[in-house]
Amino acid sequence: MALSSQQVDRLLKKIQQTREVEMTCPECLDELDKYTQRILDGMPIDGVLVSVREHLEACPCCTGQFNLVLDTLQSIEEL
Amino acid sequence: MIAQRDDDDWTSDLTSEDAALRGNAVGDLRDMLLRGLAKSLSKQGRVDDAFLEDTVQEASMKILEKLGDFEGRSKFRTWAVTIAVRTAFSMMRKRDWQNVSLDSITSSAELDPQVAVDRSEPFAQTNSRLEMLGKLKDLISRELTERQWTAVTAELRGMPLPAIAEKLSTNTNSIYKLLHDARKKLRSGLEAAGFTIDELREAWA
Repeated sequence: MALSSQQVDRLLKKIQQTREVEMTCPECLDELDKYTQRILDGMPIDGVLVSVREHLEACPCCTGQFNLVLDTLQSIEEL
Repeated sequence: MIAQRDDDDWTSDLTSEDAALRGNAVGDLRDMLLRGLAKSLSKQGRVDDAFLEDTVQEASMKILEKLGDFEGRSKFRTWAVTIAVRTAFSMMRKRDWQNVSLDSITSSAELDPQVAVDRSEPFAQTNSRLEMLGKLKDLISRELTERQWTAVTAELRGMPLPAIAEKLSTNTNSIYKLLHDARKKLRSGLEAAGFTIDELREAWA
């Protein structure tokens, strides 16, 4: 079955966002607590965390986890 | 009522030799994760109480196992929630994808340029997109291995990378690298054929 128009668009977007060197999903998730803390504290994103940000921009799965971490922390804060 | 603790309190209480103190801390950790995840996951409508209990149980065990790795790079709560969310995603993925075969979502997958153009666009734009997609189809057949194309189509059709990795008997890092290599080949092939990044961006904008 042919890829749908939306799937082809996603493929083109992924190709367009491809960098020569990229962080993998497990590498991104290993740094996610530090990245989240910087975001929560309004601190600058630098060093290896720049690669985390770039990975999140291109990876819906890891972005989903990042958003759920933020949501869960917010829920705990409201308890 | 969950006791207020700073990071040092969490780590010392969770490793205390005083069984009562340690038990209270473990109970508070579980309670915090349970209540936090119940609220955040319910927004996604993806879990029931039994699943939530199992997730928190598994996450709590992982957090206790990894406690020695906590370096204070983030607050304890942030660190613990990140582990719990990673555990929840892993368990949801197993639940949702364990009975889905790779073949069922990737068999006969192909790129048909005619399917992927919007006929309402101006003629020149449609032709330009058709030309690019024709080149992309050619690159896919010439440059990608069967394993790469299988992984690419599985990901495009929503299968998470760890699930693809499991079905291809490898790990997520290897699948990511396989996909990254495939995207690099396609990108450099399109650029060599004269399609720029700007044109790629316009194609999916």
